[in-house]
Amino acid sequence: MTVQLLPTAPAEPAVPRARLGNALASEWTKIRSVQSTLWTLIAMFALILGIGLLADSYEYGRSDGSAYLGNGLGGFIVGQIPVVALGVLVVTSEYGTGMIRTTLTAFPRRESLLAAKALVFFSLAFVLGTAATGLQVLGGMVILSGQGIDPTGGQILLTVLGGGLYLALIGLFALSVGTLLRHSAGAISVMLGLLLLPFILALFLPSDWHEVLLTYSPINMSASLYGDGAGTIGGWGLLGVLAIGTAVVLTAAFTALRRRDV
Amino acid sequence: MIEAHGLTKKYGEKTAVDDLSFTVRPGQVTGFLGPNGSGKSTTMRLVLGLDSPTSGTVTVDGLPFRRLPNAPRTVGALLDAKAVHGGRSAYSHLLCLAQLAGLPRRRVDEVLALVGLSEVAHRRSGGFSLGMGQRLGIAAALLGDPKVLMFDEPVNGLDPEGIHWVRQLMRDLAAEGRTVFVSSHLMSEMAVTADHLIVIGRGRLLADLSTRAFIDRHAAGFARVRTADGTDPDGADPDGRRELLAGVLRKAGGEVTVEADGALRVGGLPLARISDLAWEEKVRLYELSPHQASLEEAYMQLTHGSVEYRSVRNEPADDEPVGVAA
Repeated sequence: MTVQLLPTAPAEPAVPRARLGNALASEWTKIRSVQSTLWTLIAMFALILGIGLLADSYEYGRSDGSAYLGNGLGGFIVGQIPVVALGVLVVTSEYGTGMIRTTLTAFPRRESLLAAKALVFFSLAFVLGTAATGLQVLGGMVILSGQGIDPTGGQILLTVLGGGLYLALIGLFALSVGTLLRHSAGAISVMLGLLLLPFILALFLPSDWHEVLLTYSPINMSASLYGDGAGTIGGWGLLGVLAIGTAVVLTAAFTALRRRDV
Repeated sequence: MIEAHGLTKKYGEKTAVDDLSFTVRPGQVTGFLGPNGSGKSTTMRLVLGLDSPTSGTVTVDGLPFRRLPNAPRTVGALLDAKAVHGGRSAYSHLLCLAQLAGLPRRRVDEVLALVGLSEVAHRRSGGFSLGMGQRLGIAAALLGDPKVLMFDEPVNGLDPEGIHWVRQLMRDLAAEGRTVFVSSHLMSEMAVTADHLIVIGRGRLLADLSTRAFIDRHAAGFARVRTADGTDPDGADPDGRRELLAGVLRKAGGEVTVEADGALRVGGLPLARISDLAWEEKVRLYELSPHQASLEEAYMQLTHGSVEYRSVRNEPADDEPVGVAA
């Protein structure tokens, strides 16, 4: 015996459900249709590639025979700043302009929206960050090959892929802070503080604190990627720590966005 | 259809929306009236799920906004015309919204043409005038061809041609059977646009009635009557003809006062009846003209009253009609 539990639905035109894919397409349109994206990414390339290759060129013919992979570190450290700014702006520019209300009216599934923003930004930062570190390392090897200690395959992988991953993670951290603070200048200030202060503070603190702060400071994480870091945990290990930290802040951002009034 | 039940929103100690219940029906333009700061925008944000109510519920098409399967296909909203990223072109702005609803690019071109922005589609929206921004916001609201449309102060900053266009658009949308919910702080605007009015003050419901009923109730007309003998600039009535007519009109149920220039202000009687009574008394008339009391005045009295006497909020209909002399 069959019982029809559900009556036939009224003949409504089928409306496709809005999904994460829709939000991904939309966020991709958003990020490539504003000038600030272009300028921050150009700045990242100019800093990582420009300063790195400048250092390599300077060393040409004057090498003391040491490892030259570390020449890229200075550019990499300052090159994080535009990435962090872009990460923050992906969210805070919507709050600053009021666009967030338009967006959430068109797509009220806030978790999916933030997931889309995070995925689009992370992918973009990872691909372009890896390209920047990769080109810098490649350029260094072309310029200085045989003049110092050439990097091993494992070191190149850590610097290039790890560098791209680091940039994407620190940018995602910034995106999360931007979501929590909803204010461009505030979030960028916090991120600059997080990037620079631990390293500076470590110099003035007693040694047991000093160790911890120094090891886990973003500057030391960056240095570790270029084969130059302090601590025993290593480049990949520090990346893992950064990934965990980012996951925590991102989770807080999801919770805040879901609960808060816009 | 928008349905609110006991909607309340508190920000700390301040109650922005207070136990608001109303229904916005399809097929008509519903005006949402209230002075600045009365809670109109907060209510609209609650409807759109941007803010969560402290208590109460509000649904669109039977669902809370945030549970709609594809919001832009059900509800289109214009909250704030400046809520766009100024660095993005009108086309890109609409494209990213269209993609959220899975709408094709073709639809972006359609709405741009509909609001008359095709020619500036690829210019940065930051350079748009307020009127162009308003058109862009309306284009965004129309993207998903929604059944429910919400506009917060849509004629703000528009030139007369633009205002005419928006009014016509809202009426056309309602005529197509859609639910159109428009907020305004201007009674005069709503009087010519809205079929139904929901009036709030200090977050509370003051009136929920058809525009026609509001006008009938709150802005009843009166007649100005000038007798042949009462026309002196000092308002003198040497033969007592004006007093005679005033007495007859009062007896017939009219509400009569003498104005400063000697004319009679008569409420509650049709013009033809006044003319007949004057004829019977052989009083010659130099003027018999119809007048409408200002709706704006009626509306101000209604909303002002709510601020000072909150306990009478449920009886706006019993207010003395403004403009009719007692």
